[in-house]
Amino acid sequence: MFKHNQSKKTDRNGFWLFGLIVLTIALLFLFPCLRDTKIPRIDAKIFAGLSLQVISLLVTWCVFWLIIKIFGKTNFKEGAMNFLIGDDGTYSLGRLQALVWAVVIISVQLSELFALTFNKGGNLFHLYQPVFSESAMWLLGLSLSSYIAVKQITLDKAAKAPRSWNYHTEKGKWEDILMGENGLDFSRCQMLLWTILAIAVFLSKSYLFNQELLFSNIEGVNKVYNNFFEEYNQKLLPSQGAEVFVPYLPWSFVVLMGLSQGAYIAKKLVPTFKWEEVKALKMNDLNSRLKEIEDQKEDLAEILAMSAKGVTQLDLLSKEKIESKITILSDQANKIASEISEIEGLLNQ
Amino acid sequence: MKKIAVLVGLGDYYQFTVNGNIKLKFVEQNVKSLMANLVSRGWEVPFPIFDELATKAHIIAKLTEALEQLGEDGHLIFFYSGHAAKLLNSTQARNDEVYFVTSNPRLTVNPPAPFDTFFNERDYIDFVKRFKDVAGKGHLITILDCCFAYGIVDAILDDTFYHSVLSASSANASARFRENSFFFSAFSQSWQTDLDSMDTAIDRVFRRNGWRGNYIIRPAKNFKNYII
Repeated sequence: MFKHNQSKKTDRNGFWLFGLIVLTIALLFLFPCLRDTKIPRIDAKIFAGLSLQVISLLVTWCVFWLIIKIFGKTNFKEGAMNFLIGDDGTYSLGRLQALVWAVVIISVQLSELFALTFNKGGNLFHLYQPVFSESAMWLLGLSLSSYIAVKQITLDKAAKAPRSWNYHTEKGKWEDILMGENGLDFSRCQMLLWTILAIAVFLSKSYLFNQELLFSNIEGVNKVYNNFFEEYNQKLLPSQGAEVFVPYLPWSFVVLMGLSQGAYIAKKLVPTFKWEEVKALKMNDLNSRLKEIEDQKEDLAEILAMSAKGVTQLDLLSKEKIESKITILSDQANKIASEISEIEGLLNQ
Repeated sequence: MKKIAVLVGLGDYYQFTVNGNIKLKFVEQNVKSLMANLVSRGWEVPFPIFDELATKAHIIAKLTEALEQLGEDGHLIFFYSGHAAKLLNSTQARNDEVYFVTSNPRLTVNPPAPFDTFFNERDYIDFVKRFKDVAGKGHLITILDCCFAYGIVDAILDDTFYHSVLSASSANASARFRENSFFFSAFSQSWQTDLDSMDTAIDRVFRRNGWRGNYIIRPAKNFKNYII
């Protein structure tokens, strides 16, 4: 039954992959026609620009999909979701963010390449340069750093408490991305929202850039390729003209993303407080005390049975010492037991 | 003929001190195990001295008490398991003198408690001499499971006709252990053999387990074929 379901799922994945590849190839062939359509000029430009974004995103995703198909079989899950599975077996927001940024930045480069290839004045493929704005690099770097930091924190937690580590062997769920240990996690939600907003803004800048690559002549293309937005340079403010820059995000937004990532990581470092966990720790403590009491009683009985007759003052002291140790342990065990009862009372409220 | 064994063990005690000696988990178990074995072989074993009670005064008192009960041909085992240390750059005593790290309220890292406040090699040599006077025809078996163990008795090497020594380490080395004492493990697997063959028997156990050891077994001349 399980195998049957698996093969059905694989068939469905194959169908989607095939469909995507066909759509991508069709759009690539259709693109020059779209560019030269007789619909009003302004609409044609918009349509061509948007198609270019979609095509490049699809091509990027197809490449990722092929990698997944070839290398992506693991014990946990087969398919794209492998990229999102964290070290604790759940889907990870840090990984999702790193993946999305990588896909977006690669697809933007591809769209530039396509735009030059299908330039209105002819093929300008030879002018392509893989240029990135500093802000784009920072955003990718931030998401990758966050991914590595989260991995380190997760492994550190597992190493410190291997017994209490609950490795998820079941399938990861989408809700893992937004859920913390105590339910919906605010730091995750806000980071996801900022990321979506950042990607939308970044793609819009990329759209404008591609328009230039698609419809300008060689001089225009060379100009935009060397036009990096300098936020603190008054001469290059976008408001002072319809100037196009290498796709970028304002630095204030990069700082905001950095703060958001920082809050997300910092929250992971702060331990959560749960009465169930406190109770479990107390129970462990109680059990170890009770075992020690039993051991001490057993030892005392054995030693008394084995030791030579004729008790001296020192022997009595030795016996009393073990007995007082047992008494102290018993007192500690009683105290822990009463604390456990209090916790149970709180949990039952 | 009386056969008495005085057993001393300090293990948990060290966790409450701040002198850098780590807790030895195996001590209590080893003492109990040796006690059970000796009792089954007809030895009289008074209540062992553990941890806080293992002070210099208590150990001397227990040994004296045992000595008083021995006849001239009596047999006595002294077993110590715990930490021992060697004086280095000291003005208190000879620089290579060894002391058992026995229970001591002044057990601190710096300054160290005075040499004389620990049960030390001078105290034990005095006791060996007293044993010779009281039970000259008897047999004293010293079993030391600690660092620098042989250093406790190396000053009285000549008294070998009545005194057997089983030490976990040489005078200048540490005793090896992990969760258990390697020496005690090997010794407890070899105590069916006579003292003369014990060295070979212990060596066999060490080799079998791939351990490296620096133990010294020196049987008394009059008791080479003696089985504990």
